[in-house]
Amino acid sequence: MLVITSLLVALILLSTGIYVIETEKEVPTIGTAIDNVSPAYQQSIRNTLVSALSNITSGGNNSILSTDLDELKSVITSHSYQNLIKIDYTPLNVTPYQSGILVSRGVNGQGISSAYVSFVFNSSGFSTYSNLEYAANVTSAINLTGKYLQLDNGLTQVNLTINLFSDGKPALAQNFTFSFQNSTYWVPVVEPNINSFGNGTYAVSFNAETDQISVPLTVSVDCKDQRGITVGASVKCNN
Amino acid sequence: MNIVKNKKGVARVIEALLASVLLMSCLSFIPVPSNMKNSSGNLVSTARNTLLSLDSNGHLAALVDNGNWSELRTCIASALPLTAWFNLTVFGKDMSIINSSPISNAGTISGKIVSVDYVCASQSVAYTIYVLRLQLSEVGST
Repeated sequence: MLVITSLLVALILLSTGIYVIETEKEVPTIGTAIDNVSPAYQQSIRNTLVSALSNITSGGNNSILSTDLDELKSVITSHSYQNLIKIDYTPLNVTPYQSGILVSRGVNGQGISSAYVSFVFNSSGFSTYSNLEYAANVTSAINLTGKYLQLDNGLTQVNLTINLFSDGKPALAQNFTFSFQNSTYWVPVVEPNINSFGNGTYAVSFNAETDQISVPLTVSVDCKDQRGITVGASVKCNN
Repeated sequence: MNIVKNKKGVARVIEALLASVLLMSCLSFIPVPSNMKNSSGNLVSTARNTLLSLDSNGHLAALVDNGNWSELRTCIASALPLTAWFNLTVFGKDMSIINSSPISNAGTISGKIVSVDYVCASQSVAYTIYVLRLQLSEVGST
C-alpha cells in the first residue's frame, strides 16, 4: 500500500516538475527581443541620418533621406533571423522641418543643419513580442559673431568668432569657407587666419579689400564638421 | 505469534525503504535547467557590444570603407578579452564577402561558437550598408 502511494506521489512530483519547466520555456516575454538589438539598429539609423545630411548639405536632394532609410530598413528586416521585424519611420514635417530635414543659413550668425525622423519597431517571434518607439535627431549648428576694423588703402580687417556644435556639444571642423559682400557680389576669402581653441571655438581674421565699405560688412561662412555635415551662416559685422 | 508480528514489521520496513527509494529516484529524474543558454547569451552580448562600441562614431564603417582589415582586426582584438577567439566576416548587402583577408585571431577553440550579425551603415556621403558577422568563442570553455 505504501509503495503504491509513494509511486503516485512520485508521478505527481515528476509531472509537476516537467510541467513547470516546459511552461517556463514557452512563457511569452515582452520587451526582450528588440531591446537586445535596438542599440545596434539605432546606431545604424544614426549613421544613415549623418550620411543623408552630409549628402543634402553638399547639394544632394532631400529625397536621399527616404531612399537611404528604405535601403537600411530592407537590410535590417532581411537579416533578422530570430524575429519578424517591422520598421516604420516618419520624417518630421513640422515647420521649420520639411521631410525630416532642416537646413537654415541664418543671417544673424545662427546656422543649423538637422535631420529628424521618428521610428516604430515591432518585433515578434515564437514566444516574444516587443514594440519600440523613438526619435532620431542629428544636428550640426554654427554660431557666428564678428567685427571689422577699417585699415588704410581700402583694406578692412575682419575678426570672427565661430562656435561649432554637433548634437548640442562643441565639435571640431574639417574645413571652413569664408566670403564677404562687396557692393552686390560675394568675394571668397583666400587665406584666412584660423585659430582653433580645441573646444569647438575658432577665432578667424582676414583682410577684405572692398570698393566701398558697406556698413555693416556682411560675412558668410560655410563649415564642414568632422562628420561631413556642412552648416553655414552669415553675419553683419560692425566697426 | 511474536515471530509473525516481527515478520510483518520487517515487511513494513522494507516497504518504507522501497517507497523512499522510489521518491528519491523520482526527484533525480526531474530535469535541471542548464545554464548553457546564459553562457552563450553572454557571448552574444559581448559580440554585440563590441561591434556597437566600435561603431559609436561611424569608425567601424569607415574602416570597412577603406578596406583597412588589419586595423579592424586590431580594434576588435583590443575590445575583446584575451581569452576570446573571434572571426569577423564582412558582407555587402547582397551577402557577398568583402574582406579580402581573414579578420581573426589565433587560438584553439574548445568551446561553443556564437555568431552575431550586425548591420552597419556608413556615415560617408557615398552611403553603403554592410553586414558584419562576428563569430566568438571562449578559448578553453566547455
